[in-house]
Amino acid sequence: MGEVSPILSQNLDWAKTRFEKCDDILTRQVYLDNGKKEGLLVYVEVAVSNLMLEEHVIGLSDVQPLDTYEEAQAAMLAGNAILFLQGDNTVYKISSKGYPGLGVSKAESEKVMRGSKEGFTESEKLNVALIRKRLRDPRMKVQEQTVGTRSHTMTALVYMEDLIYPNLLDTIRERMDAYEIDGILDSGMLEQMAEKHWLSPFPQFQTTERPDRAASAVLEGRVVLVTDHSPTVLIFPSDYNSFFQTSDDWYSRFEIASFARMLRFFAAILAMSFPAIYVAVTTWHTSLLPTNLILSMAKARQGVPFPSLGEVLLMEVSFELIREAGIRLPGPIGNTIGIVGGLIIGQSAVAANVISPIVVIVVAFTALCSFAIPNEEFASAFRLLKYGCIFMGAWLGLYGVLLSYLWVLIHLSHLNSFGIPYLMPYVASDMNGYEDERDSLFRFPFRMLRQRPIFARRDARIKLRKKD
Amino acid sequence: MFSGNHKISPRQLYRNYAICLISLSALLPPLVMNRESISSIGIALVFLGIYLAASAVVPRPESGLVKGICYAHYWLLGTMAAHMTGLLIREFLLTDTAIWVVLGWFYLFCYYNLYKGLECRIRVSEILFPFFLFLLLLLSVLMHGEVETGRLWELKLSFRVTHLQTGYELFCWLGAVQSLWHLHGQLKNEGDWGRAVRNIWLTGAAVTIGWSLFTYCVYGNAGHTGLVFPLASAMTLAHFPGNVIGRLDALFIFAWLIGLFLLCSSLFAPLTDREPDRRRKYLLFALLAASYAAACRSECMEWGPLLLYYVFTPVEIFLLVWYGIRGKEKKIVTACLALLPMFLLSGCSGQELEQQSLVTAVSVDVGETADFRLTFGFGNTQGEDEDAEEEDTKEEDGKTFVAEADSFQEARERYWEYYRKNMDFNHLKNFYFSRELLMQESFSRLLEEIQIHGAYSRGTLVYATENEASGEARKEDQPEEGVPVHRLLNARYNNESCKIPAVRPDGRYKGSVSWPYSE
Repeated sequence: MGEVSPILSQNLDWAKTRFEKCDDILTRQVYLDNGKKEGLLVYVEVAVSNLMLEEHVIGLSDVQPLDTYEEAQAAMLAGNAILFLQGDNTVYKISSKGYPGLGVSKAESEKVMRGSKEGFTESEKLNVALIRKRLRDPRMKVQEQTVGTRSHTMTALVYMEDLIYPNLLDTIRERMDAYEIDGILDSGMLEQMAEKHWLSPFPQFQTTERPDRAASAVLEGRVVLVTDHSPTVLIFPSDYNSFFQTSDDWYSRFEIASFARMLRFFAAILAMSFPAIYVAVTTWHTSLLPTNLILSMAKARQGVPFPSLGEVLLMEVSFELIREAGIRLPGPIGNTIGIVGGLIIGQSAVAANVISPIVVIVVAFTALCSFAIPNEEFASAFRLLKYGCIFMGAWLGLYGVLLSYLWVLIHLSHLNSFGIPYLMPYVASDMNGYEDERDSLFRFPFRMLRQRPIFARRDARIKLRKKD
Repeated sequence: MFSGNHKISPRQLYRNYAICLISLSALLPPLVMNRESISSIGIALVFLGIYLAASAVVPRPESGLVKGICYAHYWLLGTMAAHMTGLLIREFLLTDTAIWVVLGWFYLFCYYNLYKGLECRIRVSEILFPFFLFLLLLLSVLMHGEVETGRLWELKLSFRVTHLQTGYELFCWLGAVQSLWHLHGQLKNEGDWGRAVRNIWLTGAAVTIGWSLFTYCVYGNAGHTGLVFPLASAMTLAHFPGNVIGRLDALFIFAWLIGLFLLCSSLFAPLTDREPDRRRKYLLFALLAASYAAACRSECMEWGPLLLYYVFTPVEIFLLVWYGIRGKEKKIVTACLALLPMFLLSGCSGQELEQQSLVTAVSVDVGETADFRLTFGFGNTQGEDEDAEEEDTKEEDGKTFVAEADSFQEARERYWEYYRKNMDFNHLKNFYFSRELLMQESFSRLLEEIQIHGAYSRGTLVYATENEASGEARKEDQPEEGVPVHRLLNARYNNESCKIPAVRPDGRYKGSVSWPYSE
């Protein structure tokens, strides 16, 4: 336990060393008793308001004296200000309203059954504080930087100093500095600038609106990039597996979480290829379906003017239109459009013999599958690839579908995110002693997840051990 | 930044080559399997074991000339494997599609896979391995009712010179995994090399024997004679519980294609498995183009095996021995997707469902003007609205089509002339042969046609009718308790008798008829 020094400059040195590279933690010199008493305030920027400091530092009643640096550090990271006084070997905790909580909106696009409902806001400072609130460790560093020659948008790299690979930060800075841009208005612009494989439809940065997800990524040895004016933060490095994970995967029991994950993987495959399989089976491989089913499908198709390929494309494009219209329109109207488009137009199209009923089922099921993928950008990649798959399925049947799978697989095998193979841990998991497989398609019981994934530095991978 | 994966892991090596061996063992050993050929398969596996053990201890060759010879060997094997893949796809997935279209895409994706380099190629096989294995195991399990394990007691262990020859030939094919010699030195920990190679051989040996016995249990001594892909044809008998999926052979081919794709990639890969540069990528492209041109021609299966058995494999063995004595080490090429537009213009397309007539039953009687009188029963409603002309030998009642012909093919052609629709035999459930027909000599010819044309023999059942068979094809509900057609074919080859469930004149399914016919 380090005793607090009565010399203010020594306390300042302690704070600067301890909270080095923590741009969200501020130190401020104050003078009490009409300037006779010199003091030093240390506090988390967003957690302690300037107003409170000015009004309440003097004559506070709810201060608590602390004797050691460790106590002071814990109090400060909990969202309070700490005050050192010259000649006094006691540090004073000044209670504040703490970290932001009220007024923080809910995450709209990443809803969970269990766990925090908080979402990021549009303020970079507040977003960093929401992560700090969860990780009260001085080793969590925050490095701020402005981007954009005209917008001067504030960005912050949040990471755990002892967990990340040292040159990861240099690499991301290199990429961010590689271009000069007039304005960055959202994290999406930064993402596109910093991606290495920029032609790929698959995102190489994970995005999240949830502070707990970001905090979890920081604990895994990844870096979170927070951008001002954007409620979405970027996480890197990322792999294929991380796009299928949701926050409540770790909050729920492992059986349920594993089942949900398998479902999502299955959904992703179907989101890309179900319409293609339908077209392939009905045009090339009727033997795959039971006779009764194929007969009823043939009957349903009688009178439909389009070939199967045309039907499926027509419905898929209609669905995309409905989806796009639903997003652009205000909330209640958007929902209505979904119902009108999905039910009424679909039913009318079937009644008018423009399409067969089975195609409506196929397209609706495919849409469900694409919505089951937790990350919207990742799901969009599958939605886009679906069209290529459909053409290949119509042209070469299941052989074409298989070729489409192979194309995607070869492409994904070649991708990497900051040196991490994109398909980790399904390939090359020997890089981390096959440990990452424990948190992939199946989520092992929590007490068996003892190591951090490959993202963390090799010498800092243990995250859970049983106490002696 | 992170721990690099420029070296491959033992698991990646194992999966890549095990998948190659499993695909080859599903393709070739079942073809040679009969009552006495288990020794040939054993000999092939022993040869393979010795070869792999030698390649595990001998360093990779470095001389350009030697590498060129080895590569020519792999190129030839890859070309023939690709040709067989094309045939397989055409037989089971894309009937009537030109082989150059099928193989064009196959080679394009092979090139794409190899263009990305060793790491990418190895990762692709690593991730596909579990899917491949799962599909094959699932299909094998779904075959449970069709496998007669009692047949295993018929096997004889004998040794003749022909067995040695067959074993050697089989080894030459299974020796496709010889290309792993060129990965020697690429493993992260060289100490694991021997263990990985041993595991590859053990897996290959187990699977080869497994598939061979499996095929024997399905077909018996010679039931698969004439079939190009016996195991694939056998998979037509697999049925999903609850009949959720119809015939599963397409799924089997799907799995098998994965294996063959990775096999061909592995065989063409040694050029690019080191640091790939632009020159090598061009060279690879040229070699793949040449391989494509050769694989599109069926003649490659005439001269290819001869070169394989009598030139390349002996040379490769010599090189292994030579380098085993001396000890030295190991290089590649190319680019361009220029073929893509050509394939896009190829005009390959499927058929709409309503353009196909799903045949559910075929009755065959002795014909008057031709050898057979064939009655085709259809499951769908085609023909109901059509005004087909009626002739003396053809009838049309919406549900059936009757034709006098000397073969199925002739009858199909006649149907096309009338309706401009294709008969789809993928849903064919039953054959009905009249008792009179069973006595005819021409019946053997009919069986041969059924055997050769996979679509007729996939999981189809057979009944014998006391009277005319034609009425049975008209029935809407077809029974499912007949004898599988492959048993009839098997009996024909083995000169054994076979009991066929009988349909009595009053329409009852009772008793059986023995064939070859005897009163």
